[in-house]
Amino acid sequence: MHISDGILSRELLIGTNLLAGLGVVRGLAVTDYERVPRVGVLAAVFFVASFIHINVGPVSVHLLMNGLLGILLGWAAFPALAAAFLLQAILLQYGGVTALGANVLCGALPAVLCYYLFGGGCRRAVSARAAFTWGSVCGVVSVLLTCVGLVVVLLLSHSENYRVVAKAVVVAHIPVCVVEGFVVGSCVAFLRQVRPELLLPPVEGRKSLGGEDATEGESGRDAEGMS
Amino acid sequence: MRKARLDWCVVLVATAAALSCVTAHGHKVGCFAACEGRTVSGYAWLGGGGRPKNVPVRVLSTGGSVFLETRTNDAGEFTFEAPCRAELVIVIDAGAGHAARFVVPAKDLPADLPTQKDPAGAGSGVALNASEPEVPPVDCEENPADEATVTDDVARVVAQQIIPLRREIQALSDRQRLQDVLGGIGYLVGIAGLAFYFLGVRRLDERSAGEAGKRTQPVPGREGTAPLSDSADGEV
Repeated sequence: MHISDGILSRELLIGTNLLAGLGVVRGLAVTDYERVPRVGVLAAVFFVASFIHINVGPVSVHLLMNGLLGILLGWAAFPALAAAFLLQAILLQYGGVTALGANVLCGALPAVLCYYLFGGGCRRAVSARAAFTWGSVCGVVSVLLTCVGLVVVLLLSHSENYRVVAKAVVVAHIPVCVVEGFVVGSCVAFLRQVRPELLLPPVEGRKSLGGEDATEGESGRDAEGMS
Repeated sequence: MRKARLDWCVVLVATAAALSCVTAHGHKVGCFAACEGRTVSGYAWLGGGGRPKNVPVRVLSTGGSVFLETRTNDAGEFTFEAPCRAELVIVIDAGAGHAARFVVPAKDLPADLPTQKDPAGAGSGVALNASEPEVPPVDCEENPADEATVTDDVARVVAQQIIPLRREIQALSDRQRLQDVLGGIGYLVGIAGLAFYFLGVRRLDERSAGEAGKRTQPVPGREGTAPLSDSADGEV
């Protein structure tokens, strides 16, 4: 998924970097004191998850975990993924540094979309099985959206033969969808049982992960103390 | 403390799982090429350990104009004849956003090749995108009399010895190392820690300013009750 330098046109590079920068600013605005360790831990989880590979014929694809980042971080997925992608580009030459914006957009936009689509369902799940279902659907959808984003970016750069490549990318990521559906579903079910406050909406008066003040909150119990 | 330990357990388990797969990586494509006389041969390789088959290979000048185009074979290798004694930029486009480039310096090519007519090239920057507007191929002019001082046989034998060494050196430098992975995780933890510290300092300042304000203004109905306690006190 990591896009290298020199693939995208100059206009596309500028545009994607600007949009990703806006997303990072929005994400930093909703990251307050209690959430910083969570952002750091999940950025490290993403960094490490992209080393877990699944070999699909001639292609080797890696786990993404941006569905989990979306549910747990919301807009803060942007700075987390920006840091992780930047370090991968610098230290490991995965993807180009100029293509950082495009890579961050491909990873973080699906995460934020999944936060809005599935975050509420995961929070209000009535049973472990419901939480697993919501989480696994989120995992599958986030991978598919990432593939769609990658294909859109490549098509916009007017590179030849990318219809064929688009099909190949989506087909190659189907095993990733399956694995991530299972992993994210298990994580959500596990967190619901062990640390449900990670999934709950923030306390009244605090900025929620979507950026707006939460109007509902757990009475008498606040979200502080999360590390 | 138990909650903090749970988070770090998750990261450690994920790290252990990933480090067991550190050898396999499908994130990048690389390229290596060397010349024997006028023939430039090389191969492309995938980070996951295979070779990209039948992918386009473009040979560009430093100015961006195209010398020639070819494709890798079923073993991921390619061969072409150098048209000029100029710096050749070999670009491999393996699809899905992955590309690699390798530069063959002009001094590796034999001295009796023609030199490039316009070293600046007609293009503006090296374009890896195959659908950029057509750029006319580079012209090579006849070399003014420049005697070759090394015989062809010696040059060929030396090249045969040197090329495997160069290949190994590049493989070494491109190898994914454990310390890079750990370094990346360390950076993330460090940045998060710094942000946590500075935000915590600001929060302490706000709290002490708020308490100073509360002391000067008695809150109605709260005299005699315990001050509001913050459950985050003492928790890291």
